[in-house]
Amino acid sequence: MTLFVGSLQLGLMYGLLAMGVFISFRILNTPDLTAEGSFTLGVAVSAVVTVAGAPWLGLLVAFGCGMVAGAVTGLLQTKVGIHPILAGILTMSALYTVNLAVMNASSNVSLIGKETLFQQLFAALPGLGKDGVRLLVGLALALITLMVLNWFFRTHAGLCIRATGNNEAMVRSSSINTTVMKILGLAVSNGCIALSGAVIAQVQGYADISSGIGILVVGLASVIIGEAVFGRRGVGVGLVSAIVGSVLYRILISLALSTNIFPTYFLKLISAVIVAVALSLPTVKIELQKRRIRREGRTHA
Amino acid sequence: MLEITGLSKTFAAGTVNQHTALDGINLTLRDGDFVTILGSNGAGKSTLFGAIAGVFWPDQGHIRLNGEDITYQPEHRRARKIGILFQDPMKGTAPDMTIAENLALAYTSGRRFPLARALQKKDVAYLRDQLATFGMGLEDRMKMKVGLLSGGQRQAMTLLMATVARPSLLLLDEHTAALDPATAETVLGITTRIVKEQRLPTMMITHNMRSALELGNRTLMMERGRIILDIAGEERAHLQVEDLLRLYSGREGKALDNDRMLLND
Repeated sequence: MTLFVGSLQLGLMYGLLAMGVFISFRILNTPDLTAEGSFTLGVAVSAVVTVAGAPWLGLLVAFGCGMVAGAVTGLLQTKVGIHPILAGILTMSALYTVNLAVMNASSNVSLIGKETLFQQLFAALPGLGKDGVRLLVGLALALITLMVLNWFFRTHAGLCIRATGNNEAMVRSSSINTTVMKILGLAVSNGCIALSGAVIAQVQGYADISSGIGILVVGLASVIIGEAVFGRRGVGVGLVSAIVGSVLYRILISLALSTNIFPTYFLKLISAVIVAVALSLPTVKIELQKRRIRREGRTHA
Repeated sequence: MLEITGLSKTFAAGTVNQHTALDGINLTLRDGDFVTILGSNGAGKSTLFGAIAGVFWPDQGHIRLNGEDITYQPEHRRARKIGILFQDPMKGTAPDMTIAENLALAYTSGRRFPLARALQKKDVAYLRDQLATFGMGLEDRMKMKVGLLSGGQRQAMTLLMATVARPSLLLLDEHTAALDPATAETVLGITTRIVKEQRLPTMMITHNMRSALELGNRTLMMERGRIILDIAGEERAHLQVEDLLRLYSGREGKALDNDRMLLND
């Protein structure tokens, strides 16, 4: 039960990450490596602002900083014409320095004894208990972000971003500025990813420079697991499935770890394997189909 | 009104692959002009469209649309004034978005506050009515993803998307060539109706010589980046496909060579 509650709490908070990755990976159709840096950026900014005494503001500032990071990648992709993957790697790499600078050249910042938003809520809502508060924060943040994104991708700007990711040739020959749309899309995506980092920093009580390592794979795994449950449908369903996927991912991971089959440090390998296997399924299906055709062709010969 | 003066473009200049695709094109289209364009492979037909649409900039010459010089205007800026359709029906629509979303994108683009709701009741009702005039039953499937439609249906949709925002020029680059004959006929019918209703200046590249003479009010023939034949009015009305071929070989000293040219179908 504790395993399940814990997974649900973390899953919802990482659900923000999953939605951000869904935006870049599925809507914009580019795997965006900025995530690794922007997640840590959110962690760092949130911790530093919390230390300064404003935990809620920390979330907001983190979101804004994440958007800027995404916009930088977008600019590199479009205005400078750098390959999307390389543009993400460049920003991610540059963010390592930025993140260290945010944390005052230290590789971690502790929030022990500082008043995080969770401490504030534990005191304000004693009836819920600590688990209840964590669940409430995760649920509220995930739902609010979900609703805002769902609204945004149904606005005119949102539609333009979706079209840019779906058929860029068409959008370029229509009167939509694809450059602006890609930058905007990546900004929103990385804003969500940084927000996820921001809340994670406060719930775990510290910021660490290596928080973002492998985080893109975690996001991708969540998106893919969600799609395995809901199928690939519209944007609204896609965003919901990213959150659900994130929760399922946490449950799977904690089950795997609690059975002691794997030591904790296997986490990233397992995540990578989940993503690789899921992404190879379409190719495997085609190969199996080919084999069947060949076999039937031989028996009829 | 479209005015093209002295338009030239050479690709890969200074290399062994140097290719003069446009060689001093002069052309004026008045409102209501529907021009069909014929020419052999590599004659510069699609290159001419590319220059007008802003896919690349010409080396020389100017393009004016309704008096405004658009030669170096960014592609997305002039796209508001120019509708364009290609041969490939997949090029003009976003497959993972619904019919309504695709149409709304084209219809409200540049006229709405970016954060306004994309699908507004009034717009969707208008777009639905427009789609209903096609007689393809698409109006009852507004929430369907475009990727599920046939090539002909997608091309018809693209046609509506290209013209619904009332452009000043319509460019059709063999837009029915990838469709089966019956569907091509339907899409051509819709094309001529829209062009006539909007009195929309239109240029249509085709490899079908018969429809090049039957449709529109003027026919151009291009060769080696130049316009070698420009016929309209009385002269064109009596012209047969055979006459056109004779005119061509008379000017060029060789037979027309296009691996897809249809003399009569």
